[in-house]
Amino acid sequence: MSGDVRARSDGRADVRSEIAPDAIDGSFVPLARRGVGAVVVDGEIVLGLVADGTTYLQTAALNESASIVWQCFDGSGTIDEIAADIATVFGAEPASVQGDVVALARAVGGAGFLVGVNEPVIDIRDDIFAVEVGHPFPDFAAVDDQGVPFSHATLRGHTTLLVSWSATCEFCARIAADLDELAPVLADANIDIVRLVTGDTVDGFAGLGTPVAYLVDGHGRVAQPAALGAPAVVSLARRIASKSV
Amino acid sequence: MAETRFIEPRTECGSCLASLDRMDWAASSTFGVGDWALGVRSSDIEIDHVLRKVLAAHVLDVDAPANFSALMADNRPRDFHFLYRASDALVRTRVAGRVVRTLIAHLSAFAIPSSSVIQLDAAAVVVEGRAIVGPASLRAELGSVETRLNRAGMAVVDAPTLHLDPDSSSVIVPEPALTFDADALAEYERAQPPGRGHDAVRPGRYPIAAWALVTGADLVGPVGRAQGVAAAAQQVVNADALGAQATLDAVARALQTVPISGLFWFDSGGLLSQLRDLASGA
Repeated sequence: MSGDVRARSDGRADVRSEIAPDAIDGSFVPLARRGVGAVVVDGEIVLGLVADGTTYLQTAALNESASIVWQCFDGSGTIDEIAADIATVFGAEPASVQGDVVALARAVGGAGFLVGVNEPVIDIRDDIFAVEVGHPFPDFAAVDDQGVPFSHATLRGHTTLLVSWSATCEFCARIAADLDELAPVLADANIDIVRLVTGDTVDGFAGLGTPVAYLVDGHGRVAQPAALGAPAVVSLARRIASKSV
Repeated sequence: MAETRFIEPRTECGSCLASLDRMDWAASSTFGVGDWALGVRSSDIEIDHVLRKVLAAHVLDVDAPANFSALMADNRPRDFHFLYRASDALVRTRVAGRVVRTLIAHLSAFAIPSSSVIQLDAAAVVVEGRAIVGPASLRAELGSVETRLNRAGMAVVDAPTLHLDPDSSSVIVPEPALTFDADALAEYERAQPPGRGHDAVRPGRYPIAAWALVTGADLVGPVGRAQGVAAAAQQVVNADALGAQATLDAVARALQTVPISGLFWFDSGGLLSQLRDLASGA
């Protein structure tokens, strides 16, 4: 529902009447925020808005269809009315068009481009701790450094040295050769080294930086204290390789 | 001068910064740029002395957090000189003078910016006088493959921000905005043993050969121009001063005919070959 959206003098809606992007439906009246810039590039519109409290633009590139719809977001009609007009002009199925217009409004609204829509709140945890020994490593789905999807389920039945990795981390690059050297030794002991290039998005690694490593046993439980930082990761790998852990 | 302000080093890799913090630092100095007091720690006394001499006009007698770290080669086991900002490696080189020049370039970014210039937070390589421009996150990766880039005829730009000239579709590597003792720097560079590495790309105008985005594995290659403009516009540092519309118009104009390409790599060889393709127009 659209609720009682009143634009303030700065073009932003009264916060008390803003709604979440997911709450946008056919009765919502879409209107671009003041300050939103738009440029047409090869028939597609690029939107830009200086994000609150920053010096940078947040942007969105709309495809050709979305670009046509965006030009109707002028505060003069509801989504249902816009969808009906578009369906008539293009001879398209009204319900399908309405769904597409709602989806676009939710997307651009959630990105901050529409009056009356809250941007999603980002969950920032105050305290982030490494997973303790004996605790299950949290469920995750990520990609390893070979581009292979790797999930919590893959850990079952194998002892794994799970390393949070980044292609742009100088410290990761410096220990890559050490880990490569140790990999065959660990493999002989049936221990895999897996470098998660998307590790920072995984609970258990998030907020700890890169590189970070856990030794996870075949039951998916953390077997050694987390190794934080390049020297600690190599040290843990060496200790495992020498079977001194 | 207004009240001196300090900046705590910020990093997305806390463990990387902690590793740097644990190293032995022989000396540190603080330099004033605009309102900012910026700390630079050095792994040997000589480079600290050189920095204080070259940047004598900016030396402050206050302690500041270590915003930059000059980690100089010690022949064994460290063959390269590094300059870090927090934990980000800004330069990795065998040419000691490049550490000083890169520091000057990065300190210059703290001088009060001109709102009339479009400033980009970007990494770039120059090949045959033309620039391949990418996101700033590429910088560390370019540094790690620099020797191979040099062999392929590509030189890495060390400047932290580039200026965009939309009318000529060029980027400009800016002159340092700081006063520094060029004679003292030249004297230091002459005194160094000949390095095998490349010198920094000199300030000047470089037509844009290609614009690179870091994308997913399935999006390597040409990218739609609207997508490219949207991504490139996010790299404009002073969009608040320029305004959203002016920023978008300028970036769209600059990229009107420039090839825009997605990059994705699992190892440095993959990155290198994609950059080579961009350089050759493939």
